[in-house]
Amino acid sequence: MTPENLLYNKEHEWVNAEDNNAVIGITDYAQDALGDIVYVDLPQVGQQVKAGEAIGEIESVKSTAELHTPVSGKVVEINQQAIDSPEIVNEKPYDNGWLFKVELSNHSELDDLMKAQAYEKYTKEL
Amino acid sequence: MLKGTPLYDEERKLGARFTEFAGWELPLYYSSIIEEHVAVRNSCGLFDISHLGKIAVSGEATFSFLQSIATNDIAKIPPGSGEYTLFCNESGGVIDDDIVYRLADTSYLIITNAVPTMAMFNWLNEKKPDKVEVENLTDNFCLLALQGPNSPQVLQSIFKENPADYSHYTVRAITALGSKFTVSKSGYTGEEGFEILCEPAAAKSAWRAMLEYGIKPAGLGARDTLRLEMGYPLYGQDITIETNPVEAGLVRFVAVDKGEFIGRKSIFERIEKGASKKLAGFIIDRGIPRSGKTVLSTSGDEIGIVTSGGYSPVLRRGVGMAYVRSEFAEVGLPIEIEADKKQLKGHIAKRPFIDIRRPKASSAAS
Repeated sequence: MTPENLLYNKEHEWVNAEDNNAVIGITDYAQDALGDIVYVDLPQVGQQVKAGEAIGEIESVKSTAELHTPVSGKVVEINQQAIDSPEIVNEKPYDNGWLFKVELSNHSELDDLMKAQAYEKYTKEL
Repeated sequence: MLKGTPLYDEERKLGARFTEFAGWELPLYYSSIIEEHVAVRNSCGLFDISHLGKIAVSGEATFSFLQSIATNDIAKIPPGSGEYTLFCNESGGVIDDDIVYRLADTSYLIITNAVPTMAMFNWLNEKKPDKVEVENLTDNFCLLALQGPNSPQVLQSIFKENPADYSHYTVRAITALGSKFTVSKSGYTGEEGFEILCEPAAAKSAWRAMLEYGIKPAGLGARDTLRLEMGYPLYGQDITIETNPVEAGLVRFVAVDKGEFIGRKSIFERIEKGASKKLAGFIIDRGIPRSGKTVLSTSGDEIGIVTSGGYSPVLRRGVGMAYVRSEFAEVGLPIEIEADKKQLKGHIAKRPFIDIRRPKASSAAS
């Protein structure tokens, strides 16, 4: 269920890092806890973001959650489909429901993130 | 300690997500709030609303007693029917808004909101004359709400009742599926629907029969978005002991001409004087308004507070209700609502927020 090729933080965001870029989204656990997602607010393309910072918002019918970036760098792309059809984040949180892409400024931040198994263990203890 | 309704195990088996409400552990949703909402608007949904209070009032003086404490005219209720009314204290504060059914000549049933059930029960006991009996049956009975345009068809198929025998707030005692049910044409969704009162064992068989028939179970989440989309006030949020029927916009449920009743004088004075704040509906351009947030005028002045906020799946917009200073309660007026890190733009809007196809929409109910 939790993809092995991704890295995770405690805010339930995932990172798919390849070379200098990292794609970021929220986990299945997060979308399930939020329920029907109806609004996604993402950072601007070109914006500099810092790991741990709240850079957007995800709103579901019942609650509002901050979106953080697990890594620092420059936002190079955002997923317009997630803005236009937020239900995609509920349906496919790990692929079509990705949220934004960052050009990494500090690769070592990836070492602070959890692997799939550790993240699963973390969610089970919540 | 939270209590579940007698259908708790059935709901858990269906994978319900539960939430705490008024001391009860109730299903918030089964699959998704939006899916359940849409099912009720387009076909049918089934809610377990057994947490609502059920208070029986009986005895020969019941009519005159209820007439002396309800704001609406209880004389309008023939046996086999019901009416929406408020119960107010001497200063016009709302103790509860309820449906009062007249099951037989001197036997009435009050369906209360969950939170003020005991407040209502105590109020009735405090005010009743000797020849009236008040009994709290909340835990003895279940209440199911079958809601949506297909509900008459379900009533016919499962309960063998002719939907044509029911008009707004009709209540009938029937036997079906080997059990006794008290069925009323009522609801809190704006759709055609029925509410079904019965003992727990009968509730289980009716619940199962309706699910097998293909009805979608729906939770408290959809119940709230459905009533919000209709702009129905919810007791505890939009109406409280601190608010009066004038500012809540519920004067049409106050029969000031019927004679003396508790709160009449205060309410009458408020009507004469006019309310300084009013409950108003609003629609937001983007984002979801949440209750408790401040309402601002376009020039940035605080003009009110949100009492109900949420998302309309039909409009795909945030909608809500707020008490705003009366001069701002004008349909079309632009407003802003504070959110965590931003201000949501919107405007005051008429209620219901959506077009209801049927000529007669249910009025507010518990």
